[in-house]
Amino acid sequence: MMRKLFFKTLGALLLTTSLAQAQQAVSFATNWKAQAAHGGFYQALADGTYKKHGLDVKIIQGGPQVNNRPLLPAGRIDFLMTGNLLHSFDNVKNKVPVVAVAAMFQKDPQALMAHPGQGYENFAALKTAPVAYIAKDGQFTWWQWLKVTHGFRDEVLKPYNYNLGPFLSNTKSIQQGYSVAEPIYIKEQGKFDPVVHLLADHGFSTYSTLIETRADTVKNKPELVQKFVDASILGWVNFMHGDRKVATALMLKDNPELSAAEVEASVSLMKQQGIVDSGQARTLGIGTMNAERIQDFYAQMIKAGLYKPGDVDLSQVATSQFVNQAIGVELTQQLLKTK
Amino acid sequence: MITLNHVTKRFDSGLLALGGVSLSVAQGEFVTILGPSGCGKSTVLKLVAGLATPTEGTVASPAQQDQTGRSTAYVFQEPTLLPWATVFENVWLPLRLQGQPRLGAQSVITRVLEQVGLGAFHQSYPAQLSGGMKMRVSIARALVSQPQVLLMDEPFAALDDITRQRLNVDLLTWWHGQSMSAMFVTHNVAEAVFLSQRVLVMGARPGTVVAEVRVDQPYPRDASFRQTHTFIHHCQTLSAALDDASADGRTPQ
Amino acid sequence: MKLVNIFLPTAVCVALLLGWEFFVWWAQVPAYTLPAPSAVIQSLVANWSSLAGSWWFTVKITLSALGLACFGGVLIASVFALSPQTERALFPLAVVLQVTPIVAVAPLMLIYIESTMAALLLCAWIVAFFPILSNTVIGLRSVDKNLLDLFRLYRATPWQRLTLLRAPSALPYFLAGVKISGGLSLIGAVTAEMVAGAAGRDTGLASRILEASFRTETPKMFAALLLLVLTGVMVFLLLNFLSRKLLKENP
Repeated sequence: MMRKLFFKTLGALLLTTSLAQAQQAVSFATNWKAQAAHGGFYQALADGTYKKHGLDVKIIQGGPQVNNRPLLPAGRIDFLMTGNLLHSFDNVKNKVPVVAVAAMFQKDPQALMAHPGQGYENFAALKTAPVAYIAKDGQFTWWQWLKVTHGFRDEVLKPYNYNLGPFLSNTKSIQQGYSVAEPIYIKEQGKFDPVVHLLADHGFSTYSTLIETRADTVKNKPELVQKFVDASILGWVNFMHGDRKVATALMLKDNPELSAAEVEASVSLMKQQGIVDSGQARTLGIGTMNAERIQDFYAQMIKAGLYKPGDVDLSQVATSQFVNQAIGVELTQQLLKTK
Repeated sequence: MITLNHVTKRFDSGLLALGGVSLSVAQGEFVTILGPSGCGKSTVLKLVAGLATPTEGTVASPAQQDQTGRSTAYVFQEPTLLPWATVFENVWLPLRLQGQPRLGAQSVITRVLEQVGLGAFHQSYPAQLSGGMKMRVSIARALVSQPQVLLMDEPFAALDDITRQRLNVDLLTWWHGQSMSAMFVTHNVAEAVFLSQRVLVMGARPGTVVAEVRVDQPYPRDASFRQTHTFIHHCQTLSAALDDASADGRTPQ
Repeated sequence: MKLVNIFLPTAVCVALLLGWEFFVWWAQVPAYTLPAPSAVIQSLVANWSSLAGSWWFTVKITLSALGLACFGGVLIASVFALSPQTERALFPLAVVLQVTPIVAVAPLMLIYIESTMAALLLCAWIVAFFPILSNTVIGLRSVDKNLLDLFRLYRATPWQRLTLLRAPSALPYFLAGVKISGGLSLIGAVTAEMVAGAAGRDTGLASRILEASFRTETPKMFAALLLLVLTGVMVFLLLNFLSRKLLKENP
């Protein structure tokens, strides 16, 4: 009897001390200034989900001309958001010891946009545009794939400096953008709805908005990674289907140029286009990744000349040990029912 | 051949450099203007050369009518050579500006350089020469175009005494060989006496001619002239005149 | 050049490179952070075909911009020297061009100008022409007053005055300006490309650096950087040599 009491007390003590343990400080760097495409992470921060999982998370914004990627292997941040698998392939190819642990977007929102009524309603017509505004990041990655796979030419490429002006004033031009973001700004500034072609619809099958961390973090602190991934997934569920007011407010604080209306419009587009929870995410949960899809995408990139066979050891690119556990699936169904 | 008639010169700054100067220089005459600093001696030369115009009065000199630039030569206080050109090219300059090509001028230039004792230095650059040698080049350049008028503005002032005295002797030799009129400016009494037939003493502020002394020693003159009583006497006269001129009182002759 | 003059700096360079190589090996610095010199050379050799083409492009822009800066600088300087009113009117404009940071101007240039190469050339020119302009103006003005009088005395024509007096007088000043502008042309060309980007065949070493940075290929970044440094050094040596040859009479 005394023994039972002893262990119960011990158990209770341990429980309270572990709950009262100082929150683990965690830094997470994004790849742009705060926007709806980061919403799930801001949600988890704003509504206390990270805190409930014992994490004191700091979100560090990216932006034009800001490259947060080297911070991860340098040990300055704990987790990093990346836009597509090409970054992961490059890392592994150059022996940078980082690995992807979750893929929040099942579809890459990378898109090409054009003025309506100029003949670009068909994707194949895009390559005939006299000018294509492409930013440096894209120029050295997916543009190369477009060249090989879809016949685009370097001659028309002009640097895109994240200024809509040139595209708006040249009706025959095309430019890059996130399908869930730029069209909204173009509508605001140019007063028209652009033609949007998702690269994902034409063979660019990469995952997007991946969470990356160092390989040694995965080895030595797997519980930390699991907590961050779980909380982030729940954040996305709540952001997409629940009440996202506090997340939006936090994003507006980080990026004053953003507006609440833009966030709402973006979320609808994300739902429409099946960016976040489509396909396997419906059953396995947001963040799901599978090795076959990664392998397939890699093979396509080899064909596009971006890599040579054997450049990348695919087993090091991503680990799905932290996802595919149906986290948040029930919650999603609940939230959808109450709508 | 050179005449200044009641010439005044006022500069834009308001300074009255010359206050009524009248003088004349005959053909082939060697005249020195002697005076303290700031008395307008250089201004007189500039007027004769046509490089300045009088405010009042008239200036008559070959340079006034000269379209081709052949009449007058000027030797400045600094050698004023083209530093990027050789000695040969520097002496060639007046002829070159008048259209004479290098080959055609070669013999004249060579002769003049021999005359001033720089025959071996055709290809040297001014930076490689001493002060005295540079001044010889400057004089050679003045002589090469065989001008009617030779104007020299304290050319030996920056040189040491030994070089100066030697150049004085040489100068007379060179001048005597051509029938030039010469106007020489200096504040050195001995030099004035040695070189010239007439010395005009100028007073300052404003500049006017306050005295004139004739030196009746015939040419050619050599270094021994400096030891004679005539020489010393003239120096004394001129020194006195110079003192008077400097002391602000202008003693008419 | 004395042998000792070449030996000493070479020895220092070699020592630094060896130290760098040793440090990377000893501290096990990963290649994506700081590659060893040997890794850089390897990358240079492996990527030679793409780097060589870009190198040639950068060199072309640099030398062309320098040439245009000389031409434009001398032309404008001559106008300024001959007409003080024009100088007073236009000099502030030249100063504005000089102080405007090229990093701010380059993206705009690439928007307004169709040809990438022309835009890069213009940016490099803007950065490079001012030292030549200001130095040459001073040089043209610094003519000995007595020499001007002498030329007037001999009734020299304006052309003679320009070619026989003003131009040689201004030459040392002009060359001093050119030596400064040599390095600036390179900086201007690289900065413009780095800030604004370029594409396809019209790309130089700056694009290679950016590309390598986006692909996390740090040894390749260093290899491109090495070529840039070599370019700068060669331009410097070339201009020094030219200057010495042209000013041989003014030791």
